Amino acid sequence: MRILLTFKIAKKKILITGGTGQVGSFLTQKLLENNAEVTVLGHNGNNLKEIKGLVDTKKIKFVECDLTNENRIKAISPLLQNIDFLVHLSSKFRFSEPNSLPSAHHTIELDVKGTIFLLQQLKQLQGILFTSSIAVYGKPSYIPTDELCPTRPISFYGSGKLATEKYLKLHSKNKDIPLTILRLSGVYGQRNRSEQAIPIFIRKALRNEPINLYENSLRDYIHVSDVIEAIMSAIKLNQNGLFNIGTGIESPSHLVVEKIIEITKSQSEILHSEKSGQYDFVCDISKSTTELGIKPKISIEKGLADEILWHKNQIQKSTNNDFKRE
Amino acid sequence: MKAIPLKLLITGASGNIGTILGTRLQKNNIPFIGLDITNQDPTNNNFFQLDITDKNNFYRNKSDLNDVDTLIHLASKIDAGADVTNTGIESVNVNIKGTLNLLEHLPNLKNILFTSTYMVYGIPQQNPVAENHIQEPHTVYGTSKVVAEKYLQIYAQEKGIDLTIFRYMGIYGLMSHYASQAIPIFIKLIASGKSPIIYGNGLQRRNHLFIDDAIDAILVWINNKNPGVFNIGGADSPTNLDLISIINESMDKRLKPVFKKSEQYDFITDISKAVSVLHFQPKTRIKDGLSRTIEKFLE
Repeated sequence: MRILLTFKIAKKKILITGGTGQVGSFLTQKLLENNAEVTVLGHNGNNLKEIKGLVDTKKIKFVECDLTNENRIKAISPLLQNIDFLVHLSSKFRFSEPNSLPSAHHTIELDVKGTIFLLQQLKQLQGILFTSSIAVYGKPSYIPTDELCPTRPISFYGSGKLATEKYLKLHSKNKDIPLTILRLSGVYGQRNRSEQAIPIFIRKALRNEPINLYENSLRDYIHVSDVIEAIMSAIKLNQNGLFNIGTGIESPSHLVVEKIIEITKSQSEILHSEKSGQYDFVCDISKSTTELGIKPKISIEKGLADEILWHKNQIQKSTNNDFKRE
Repeated sequence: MKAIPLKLLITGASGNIGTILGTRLQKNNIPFIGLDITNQDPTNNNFFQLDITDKNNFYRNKSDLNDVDTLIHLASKIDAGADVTNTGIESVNVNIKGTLNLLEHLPNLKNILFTSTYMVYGIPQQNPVAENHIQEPHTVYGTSKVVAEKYLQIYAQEKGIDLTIFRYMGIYGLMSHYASQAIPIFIKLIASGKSPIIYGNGLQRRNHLFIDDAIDAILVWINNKNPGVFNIGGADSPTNLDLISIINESMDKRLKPVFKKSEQYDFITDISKAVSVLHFQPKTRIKDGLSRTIEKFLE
């Protein structure tokens, strides 16, 4: 099948929500290389992390805005008037009690209402790309999981993502704007500041601390650079579509830990423990392979080495800073 | 003497379905607390007039809701629109956040009945539409209901609450209900001697649900509280042309419809699960339901 990537990125005004995050910062760079005019929307202008240089040198515009703040979104409206394309990455994963009602309310405020407030301002859109999550499947009815698998989220994080998908679909249909939904599997690689398994394992391994390994389950980890490839291809295609983005390769969690220990030459001991509610997840990537024309390139070994190096540098930097402060 | 604590709460109690349900429950001596943004019976002591989107309002009534173990959640903002930038936020506030607010103030729930809609499915891929049909709603209302269902399912699972979801077909038998629905519009036009307008060729079928059958389903649930997701639809699936000929006949008129070009589709929900698991059976045939609707209209 020939894939027509017809949407020209050059000179397009692209808005990225969550642009300071891991995927967002790499994507910003990539879109700039493709001559897009990038505006990043983020909730904290004092913590621009990797995109600080681009903002300081005025290569991109940064707009500080909390998506749960309706008045603020209205106030920045003039800055959003001519946006051609929305890349909606913004999300919050870290909740102290993920399945409590306050977390449920928060996902509705940020994922659903935040998205609607944003759509109210973006009146010239030619396309939308939303990064959803495989969390919408909950415990999947089957693996490898394709896009037709029933969506039965078991966390409010997953239901928030699914809700955003539904509202974006409604908007896309009603206004005739192409919508791409990418359901991302576990993203890892450098700049991974999440509180998920891989960065936790790596930090412990670097400190030679014991690593708790819960019941052995299969996961599909995809390196951030492969995710960026997928997003770029989807933007260029700019058609209605839903894709699982993973590698299709199952990584047992014990293998990931063993590899981390091997690469870091760590003395960490692996502690096996039981945790209920564990399940396996692996993407069926046939649809994204054929329709987006992408193929994940980074092996788990190479990807882990990349993330480990980054964490090492981060630790190094913070010790240097501590040293300077002293 | 202290009154026996009431354990059944009905939201949307002043609404179209709520009012009729309340009357039926009183007849059957089933006590309940009503909750609604408007209060049609100020003499009723077991009634909370509050807006479910207003968190502070809840706190004043908190202790009175502590004993509630069964919730029938009818309260909802109905909206046939498709522009999320227009009415989306209000719909989210009432249908999703309002539901979460309720849950937050009902700490001892054991059973929930949530009334959802056939509109969660979007355009049918095949008929009849079973409960596992994909959900691609094309209205603001349908989308808010899909999302509320998902949040309720997660919460119920987390708390060990039995959750029942009714996906109602379009309900008729209430002239004020859903002003945009075909049946009341046909009746109003034919009664005033005007030609009814049909979008499409008039052959589209729907298993319209008569209000008494919609209430029956709730009464059946109060008895057995069977959890699960159930389509609740009517006994017959007439075409729009059928509806017009029946209405003409019962009103002794002979008005020919005017056709307007529009893409229309059948929408018949598969109610076999409700029949076998919930033991619900719609009793009202379309002819009977329509003549009773017309009677109400003429009153």
